[in-house]
Amino acid sequence: METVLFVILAAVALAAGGVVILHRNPIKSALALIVVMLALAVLYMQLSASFLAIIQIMVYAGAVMVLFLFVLLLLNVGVESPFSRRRTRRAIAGLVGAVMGLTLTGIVLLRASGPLRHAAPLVEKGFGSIEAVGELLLTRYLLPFELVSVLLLVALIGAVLTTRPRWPVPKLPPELWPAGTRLPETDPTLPGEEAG
Amino acid sequence: MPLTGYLILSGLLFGMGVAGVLLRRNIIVIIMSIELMLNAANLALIAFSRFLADHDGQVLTLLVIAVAAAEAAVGLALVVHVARQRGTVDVDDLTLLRG
Repeated sequence: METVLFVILAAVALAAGGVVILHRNPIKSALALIVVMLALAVLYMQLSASFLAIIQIMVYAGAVMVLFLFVLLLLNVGVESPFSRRRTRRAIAGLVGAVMGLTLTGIVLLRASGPLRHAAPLVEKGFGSIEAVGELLLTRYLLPFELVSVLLLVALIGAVLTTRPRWPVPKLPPELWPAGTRLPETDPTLPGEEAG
Repeated sequence: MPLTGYLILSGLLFGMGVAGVLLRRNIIVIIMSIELMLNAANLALIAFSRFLADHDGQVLTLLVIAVAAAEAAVGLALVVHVARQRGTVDVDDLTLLRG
């Protein structure tokens, strides 16, 4: 049963991964990537990582993919020939990807001896629960955990500042302007109102 | 299912991601392929975590997910900015840094 489920999920993930990199329409690629992530979430559940399965669905299939779809819709990316115009570059790209994937799987297959072929060891009932992961996260891995919060803050500020077209000009009524303020219309270097 | 199966699936997904990064012209799909590679790495980490009966791999995966979310946010912000400035998301047309 477990093996059947794994084979089905692996086939779904690989097929959807193929759609991600091959489909002409970027929106379809994004939707296929969601399918990959959902299949992987079920696999996480099978590997008794229930907390990470939920996180995978919420953060990846939810937040990150909504961001991708939002940008795709915002930029109005059309359907076009998705691959490089040069045939040699396409061939090299496919070759490098195939060699890389086959090398990784080949190493696993050739070196798979002993423990790699054993069934998973038995674990206690709470393995992979939010308590178990959270306790480790707040004790041994406290520093990386806190650093991630700083990283997310930096990414947030960076993303906002990067996409902002111009620096904002606060719309204050003239009587609240600081002394000596010039009117924006008289100075073309100051940003105007039409930014958006 | 032994660990081998999960590692093979992870390796194949990673290879697909590499091929996607090299093959595609649309920069958004390239970032999506990078996410595919990160997901493949996460699968390997969680599989090892399960088969070693150790939670460390799951904590690492959680950190990887957070970093990937940050990377996607900044990457897509750059894409939006580039698309506004140059009117294209095609990497073959974005050759400003070409020597």
